[in-house]
Amino acid sequence: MWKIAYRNLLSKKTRSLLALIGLMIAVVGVVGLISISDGIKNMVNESLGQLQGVMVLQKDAFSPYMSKVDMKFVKEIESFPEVDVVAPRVFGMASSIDGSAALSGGISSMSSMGEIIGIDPAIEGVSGKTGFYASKISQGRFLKSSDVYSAVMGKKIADDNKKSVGSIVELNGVRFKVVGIWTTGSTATDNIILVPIDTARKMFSIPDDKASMLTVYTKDAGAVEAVSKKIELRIDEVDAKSGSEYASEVGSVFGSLDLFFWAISSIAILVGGVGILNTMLMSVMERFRDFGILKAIGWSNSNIMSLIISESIILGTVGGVIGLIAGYSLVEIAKPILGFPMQVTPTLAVTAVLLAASLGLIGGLYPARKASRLNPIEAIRYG
Amino acid sequence: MVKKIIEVKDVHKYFKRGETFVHALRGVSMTINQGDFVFIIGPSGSGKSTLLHLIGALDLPTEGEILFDGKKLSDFDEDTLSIIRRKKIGFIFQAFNLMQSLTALENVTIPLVPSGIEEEKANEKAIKLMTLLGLKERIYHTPNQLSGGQQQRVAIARALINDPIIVLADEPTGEVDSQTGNEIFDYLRKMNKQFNKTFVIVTHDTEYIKKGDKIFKIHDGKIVR
Repeated sequence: MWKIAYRNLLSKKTRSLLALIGLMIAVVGVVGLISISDGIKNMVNESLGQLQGVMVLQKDAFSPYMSKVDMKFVKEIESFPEVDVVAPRVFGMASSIDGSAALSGGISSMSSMGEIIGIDPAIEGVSGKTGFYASKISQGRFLKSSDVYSAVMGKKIADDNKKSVGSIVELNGVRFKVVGIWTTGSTATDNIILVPIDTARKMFSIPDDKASMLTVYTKDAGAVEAVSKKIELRIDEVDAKSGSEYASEVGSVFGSLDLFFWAISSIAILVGGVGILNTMLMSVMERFRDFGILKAIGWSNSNIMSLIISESIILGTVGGVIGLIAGYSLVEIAKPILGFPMQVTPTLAVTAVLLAASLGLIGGLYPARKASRLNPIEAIRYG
Repeated sequence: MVKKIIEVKDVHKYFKRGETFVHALRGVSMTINQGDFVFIIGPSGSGKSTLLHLIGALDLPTEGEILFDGKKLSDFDEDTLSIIRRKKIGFIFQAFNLMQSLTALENVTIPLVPSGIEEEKANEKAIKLMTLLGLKERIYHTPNQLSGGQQQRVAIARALINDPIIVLADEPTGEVDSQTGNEIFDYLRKMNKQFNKTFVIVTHDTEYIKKGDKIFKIHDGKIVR
């Protein structure tokens, strides 16, 4: 059956090819769009995975960039018995690096758009649970309490701007000496530049008694949820979230992003489906006589349905595989140019091919039914 | 004792064509025995193809009965009829009606596909038949690489591949010249004799009917001789 189906498809090369192209475009669309969504999700999850402790922000602040937390809460939170240490941080954007506006290049510059975080080297420079940044140093050294205009750059942003240990980098008009490079392997975190917290306060006009965020480290890692609840209960002026609470909140946002991308993709899928339906319908109508003959020589209605559905499943699967290869290649080509996190996951690959195969199945059903119900005598006589 | 393969008993067939009813068969009765080489002749529109379709279980009579191998065809559902056509009947058509995308060999074995017979066994059987029909050198050709006579011999092999008890041919020489037509009848006769298969052949061409054992002449839906 499969062999006959395959031969029938080969005998009408142009038509089969057109159906394949339609399907391929649908699959490329799905692979392209979903790879963007998966890529972003992956990048964010990687960064969230590195979040430790409880993040304390000003109440209702959307992000650390818009948040100012009073430093007086440091003492108050540190007085909780579960709390080990509180690390204040100041967040800001590197809107210009070496005098060129980081945003001017459009989407391609997203990769080099840096995030500046001011930290207290006395707290975060030591090893142990607060030393996350310090532990990732791959070249040079970490910040010291005596540093003023020293910076530690993430590997990616350093490479993008051709900086290494000893280079001078101008951030938002302020000159810094690069004293170290740190590497995590995650695109998002490797775009971070660390500077001393007092210098960051001056750069982003944040008073000495404020910070963007307080990171609260607990003595026992299991206590973060309890501590975040306790902080929110005791201090009205702040929001406190653990890494996992943050992740689940972001996750729900990505759920709707996914839905949006699938909605757009479904248009491409619909077009591909109509294409295959049209191809199969034409091909069935052209072969009415053949099906009449097959019925006359003893093929049952279901035999004929199976033949046509086999043909359209072959079309669908081949279109899916070609589309997947084309989509994957396009994503690989586009990734460095767009500087955008795109990722073709195995799940996406399997989904794309299965989707195309089911499009074949669905697109073949109606023509198959039509062919199987032919009256053999009339089909043979009138073709 | 001779075995009755087909008994047609007072069969009527009406067709609705547009607003009018066509009374295509008007009380036809006939008996065909095992090993018969039968001709049904008559002018075009006389009802001979309709009769052949009824014998071949492609359609059912409006009135009357057809017994196939002793069983009433009207008792069977569509699926059973398709199994009867697959296992007990071979069809040969006027326009050869081969599938253009398949080779001669694949065209011959296509009736075996629903039975799920192994490809190797099917091919072996087909090649034997095709050799008998002088097609040994043509098994991997596609229909458009074959002459009319060769295509019709492929169709004969296709009709015989399932080892049917009866072979029905509708104007099998309608699209070939008279020399090829004679050749085709000689092959049909050879298969009839060699395998003791029953053949029922519809034709309007009286040139060949001397080769038959029985002749039914049909006119205006009735058997006249």
